[in-house]
Amino acid sequence: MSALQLDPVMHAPLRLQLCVILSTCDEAEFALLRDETGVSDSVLSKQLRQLEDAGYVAVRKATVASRQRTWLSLTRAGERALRTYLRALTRLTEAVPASRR
Amino acid sequence: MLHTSFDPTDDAPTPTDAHALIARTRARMAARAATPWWYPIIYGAGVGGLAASLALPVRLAPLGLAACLSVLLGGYAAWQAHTGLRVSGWRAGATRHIALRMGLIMLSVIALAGLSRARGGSPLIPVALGVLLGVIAAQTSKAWDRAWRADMLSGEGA
Repeated sequence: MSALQLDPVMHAPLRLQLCVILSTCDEAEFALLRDETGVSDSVLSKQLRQLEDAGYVAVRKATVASRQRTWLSLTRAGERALRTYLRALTRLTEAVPASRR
Repeated sequence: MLHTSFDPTDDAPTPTDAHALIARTRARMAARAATPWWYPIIYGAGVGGLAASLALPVRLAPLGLAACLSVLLGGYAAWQAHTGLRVSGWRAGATRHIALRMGLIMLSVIALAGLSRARGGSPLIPVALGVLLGVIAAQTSKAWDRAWRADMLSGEGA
């Protein structure tokens, strides 16, 4: 991938948003991600599975007071991919004339 | 919910849209992650209690320490349930310096309280040190929270 190419896994608004949320913490609960993105459970699960398949997100299930909760985190590869994406996005923005952004 | 001008699942955003989305997401998370008012109080009480419990008779001190650790763990679990987030005090960014400073202060004050008791000092000394440590811990908790949210906004520590 060249410096001006954007990771296609990351370059979709919902997946990007999920990665940015997960980068602000160590783990976030599935319900928080659903509330913040405003999508349905099934849409969120599908997007998270794509991030998981790419090795960017890890899933952990924990039972608290007999209620199962799903926690998501960015993996090291996910953190690296997000940093690379943000750098490429900045370079791309700088390379595109303001009138065409 | 974020309102964007594109399909949030697969449409590739323009670089400008992507930047705006990232900034909005960070701002929302920084607002959402604000620590509730009760957390610094619980944290201060738990940390201060670690030093103050050394005022107890030797055979009861471990019980006091265990009770304070339970308060700390319970407070963190309640914060986690409240926010839906899990975060380590040692995360990268400005928060790490605050966590390191707090760790050093905590160990020093607890050591001082222990030393005072070992040399036959008054039980009031660990209590006073515990109160002081509790106030410092509560203030540090607030400072850590501010630094964490500032890191979120700037993208530092990610």
